[in-house]
Amino acid sequence: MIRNLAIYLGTPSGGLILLAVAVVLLALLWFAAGAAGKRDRAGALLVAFFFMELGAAAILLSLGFDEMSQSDSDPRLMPVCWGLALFVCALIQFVKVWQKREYKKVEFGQVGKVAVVFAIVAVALLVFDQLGFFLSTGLMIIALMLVMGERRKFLMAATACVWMAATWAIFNKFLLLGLPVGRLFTR
Amino acid sequence: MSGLHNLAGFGPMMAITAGVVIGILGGAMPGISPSMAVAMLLPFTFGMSPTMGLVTLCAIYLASNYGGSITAVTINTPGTPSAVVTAFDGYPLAKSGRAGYGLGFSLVASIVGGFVGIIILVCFSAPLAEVALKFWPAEYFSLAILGLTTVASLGGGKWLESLIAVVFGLLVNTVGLDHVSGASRFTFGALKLYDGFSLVPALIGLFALSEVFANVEEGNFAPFKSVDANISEWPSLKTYWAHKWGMLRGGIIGTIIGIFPGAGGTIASFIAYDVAKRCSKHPEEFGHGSLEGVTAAESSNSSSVGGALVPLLTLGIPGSASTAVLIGALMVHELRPGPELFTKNPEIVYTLFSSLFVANIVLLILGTLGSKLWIKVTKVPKSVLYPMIFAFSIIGSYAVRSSVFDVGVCVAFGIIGWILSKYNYPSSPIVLGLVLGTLLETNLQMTLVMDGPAMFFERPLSAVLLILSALSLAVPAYRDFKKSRELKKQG
Repeated sequence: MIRNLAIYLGTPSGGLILLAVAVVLLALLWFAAGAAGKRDRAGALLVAFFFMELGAAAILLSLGFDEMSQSDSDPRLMPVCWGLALFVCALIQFVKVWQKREYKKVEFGQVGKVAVVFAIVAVALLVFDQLGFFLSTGLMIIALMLVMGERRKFLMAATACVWMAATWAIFNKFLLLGLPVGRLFTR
Repeated sequence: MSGLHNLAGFGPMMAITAGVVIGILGGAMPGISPSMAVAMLLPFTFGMSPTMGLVTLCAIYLASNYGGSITAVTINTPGTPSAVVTAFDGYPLAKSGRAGYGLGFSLVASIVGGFVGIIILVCFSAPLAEVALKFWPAEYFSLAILGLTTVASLGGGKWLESLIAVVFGLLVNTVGLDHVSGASRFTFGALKLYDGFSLVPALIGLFALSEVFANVEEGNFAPFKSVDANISEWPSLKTYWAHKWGMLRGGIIGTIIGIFPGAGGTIASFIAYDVAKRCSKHPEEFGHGSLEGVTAAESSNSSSVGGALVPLLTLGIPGSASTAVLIGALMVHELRPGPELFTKNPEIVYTLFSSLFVANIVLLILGTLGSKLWIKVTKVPKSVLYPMIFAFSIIGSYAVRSSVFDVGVCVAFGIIGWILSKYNYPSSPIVLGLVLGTLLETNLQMTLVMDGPAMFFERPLSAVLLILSALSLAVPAYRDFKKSRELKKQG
């Protein structure tokens, strides 16, 4: 039965369920840390708990791996070993952090800006096939410079243009590693 | 000599010179570490021959260690972690109007230290590789375990975090098809995961993007303060000669420490600085502009490059974060690091050795001629530098397999590296886990198939290595336990 569960969790939909369970458990831990007066160390607890989840998930999923009849080796061996080691080490870390009398809270600064940077990179990747490498990274450079407080238009345009020209010359002409120019331009 | 012969010609010399220039520039820019510089430039070597690719990357690695000292001396901002110790005495020298002395000594000590490291590398690597050729899979497995546990134990107060990071890297390495049986693991039916996570995007994400994310989060975009260091007065040859023993001592200490996995240039420079202070006739000058201090720090961190290459080339075990990236470079060029490299591709090894000598000479020339130019590099606005690092990271990740998925992996590892660094989990052990995972698994499976687990203890060297591994974990764990008990007693 456990093997069947492990096989199911190893499928795309099973993976999503596993992810959802992990997120719910992390959310519950966040509230539990707050209720226990440990909000100052909630982040460190969440990280340690995430590693515990990862270790446990690795062990569980390993049970569903196919065994190769002609091979003497067992594909489950290393994942189970590392999963177990990760779970135990993370558990010790979790207990250590929880029991600490004084904990220096980890401060996060401009997380919003990190999210914006991440979004810009994600969009650049989404339009990568359409616009191609040169244009998407060129535009990404300008957008990132704007987010990072750069306002000199000439500098932004020059940086992006020099980047596009230099990478095109190095990769397409010198190293002969063709970078995609994008579907938009190849039609 | 055949190695030197391979370097004759315009192409190899251009590769070395470009590597040295890029290394100095990368090292001089605070926020770009040697491993980051090597990781970002790795994709640019894809189109080169394996030898030229490695030569370029090693030149970057070597020069970036010196580059870090430029800003350490002139603006008290070490360009690399290993240059922190250089700033202790280099910056007071600059403040007293003797920046030229600080820069001159950091350059010459780097060169001498670099030569010491390379000479030890050349002398010891071939015999060590010969010994390693006699290793059985059991010894390789135990050696890799020792490498990983040493990395964790050298994490100082963060040994548990380092250990978790190592195991996390090892676990991530198991994603994809099992190398021995061919069974799929943790792929969730996604075809793109069948080959596992590509090493280069993960390296770039962990070393380059995580740093940028950290700086973005801190809102750290202010330009570095302008430099007005007086570099007109340089030391005479006689002054350099007076510090020859200090340079040699630092070089030997750095090389030995560099050989140990996880130790690297930073620890080497701290230890060499401490030893120099103890041996000095003027220990009171340390921290106030001592030339001996600059000499010890720089000669040791540069010589650690040669030391770190010893286990990489002879055993296939990386000694530092930068050499972990170099392993990635070897793998990309379908070369297997380890003793077989000496038997199957000796021309690559000996060309690499020769190139390190040449790169050191090029570094001396460019370091002397371009000192004013390198200082100007610090004026590059961060609002330009960081977007360029993003662009480099994307091109680097994409170029490996022409896959946008790999770019996503790079960004994901960048986020993971940033979050983990906030909670004191270092990135280097993750990389070592990723690099050594396959070596560990293959050798473990081979040993089990050959003679079962008893073989690990029947072969003496393997048993000793495993005992050392256990000790390297037990010692910091016991120290931690003792410390927490003392704290409890104190109430």
